Amino acid sequence: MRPFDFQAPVSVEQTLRLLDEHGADATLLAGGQSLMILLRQGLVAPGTLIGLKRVEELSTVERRDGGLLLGSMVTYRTAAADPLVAERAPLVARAAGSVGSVHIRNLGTVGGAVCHADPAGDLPTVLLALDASLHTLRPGGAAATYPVDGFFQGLFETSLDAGELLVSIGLPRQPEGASFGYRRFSFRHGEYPMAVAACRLAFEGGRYAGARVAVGGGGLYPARLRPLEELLEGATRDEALEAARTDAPFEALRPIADVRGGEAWKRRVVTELIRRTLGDALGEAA
Amino acid sequence: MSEHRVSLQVNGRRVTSEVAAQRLLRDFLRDELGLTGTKGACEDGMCGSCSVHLDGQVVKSCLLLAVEADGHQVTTIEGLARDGELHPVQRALIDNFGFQCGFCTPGFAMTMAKLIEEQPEIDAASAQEALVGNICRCTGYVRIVAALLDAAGRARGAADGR
Repeated sequence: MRPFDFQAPVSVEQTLRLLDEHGADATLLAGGQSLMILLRQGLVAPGTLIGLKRVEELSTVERRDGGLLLGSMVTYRTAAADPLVAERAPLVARAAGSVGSVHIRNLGTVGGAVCHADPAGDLPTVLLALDASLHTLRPGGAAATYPVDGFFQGLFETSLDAGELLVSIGLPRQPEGASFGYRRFSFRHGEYPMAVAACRLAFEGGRYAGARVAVGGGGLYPARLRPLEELLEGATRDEALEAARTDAPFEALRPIADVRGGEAWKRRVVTELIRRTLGDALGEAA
Repeated sequence: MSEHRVSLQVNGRRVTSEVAAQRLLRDFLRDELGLTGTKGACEDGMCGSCSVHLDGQVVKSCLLLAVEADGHQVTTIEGLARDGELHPVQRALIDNFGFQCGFCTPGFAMTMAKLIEEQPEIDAASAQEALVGNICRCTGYVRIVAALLDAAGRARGAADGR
């Protein structure tokens, strides 16, 4: 590992001061369950590493406007076990409990996953299905809020500037009676998933409204599958089932060919994963 | 490259040392403290042979900097036995022939020790799932899972005063 300086601030204020001081030469270290590997591989080589594990104010779980505000340093373990998360964002709890192994869940964080922006990240995909928003601070205290839709910009790339700190993740109150689906595909349990799908369906007067279908592993970054969402809008349950069976909404998927498979085969897998996830939310027997 | 003075509890003993910022907890335990029961193999966080307890939770010591363990409590395989008595998972691994070459065994033992504490009622299916973070390249999983279930049973028995 290339040598670096290490700083361990204990408050958001201290963290922002350090970011100001070190600028683009600084990298933030959250749970480290992805970044430690990248550091060792030399893919990330900061002059200064700012460890966030001692910043307690980033680890809170709070009620907010009928929804939830999750601190960026909330671990997968906490997100999976916290009763408030289970009540107000059950999909987040399920995804957090499915990531990696117990070791990874004990240290890995929700905010770290968002900033890492793995193309098939569980949490990024689920947050897209729930219309989450991301709250950040910059040196000097300027606050910004990003909708998660549009936050992921490329392979491991987000809208965050160097020197910007993800403070919390807002999860809005979900529509009354909404149903949800979440599935992941990996060859071996506990591995990085090849694909992740998450969806939210809300019924209004016998028709679906505000449907969200999000996919990880369908391209360079997690994203909503808009062609399918549009077919679901205003659809009855039967029409929704029919729409999911057609091929057109899945043609936009561009999975990255790698050692696990080529693009065409991966598209078939991702498509089937999305169909089953939607089936879960539609209450269809899988 | 910054140097840091760290002070942590390792297996109940206070340790104070200077560490370079990029020093992994695993390498600190092995090379500075001579606690070589904690292994390193995969270098990418998959194999679990470096599993230790940090403040009572199992973590991979190759995915944590030594400087991040400052002020915390670490338990390694060398600290699992108490008063000369093997931990129930160590005893169960022996009794069930739950290892072949033994390289992955300390990591498995550390993961299992937390599992039987947190999920004493663990069944065979959950046991397999719960061990995904540890890899055995001799592929002796059947007996490792048997050891986990046996250890959980013993721990329940001890809790019931049997």
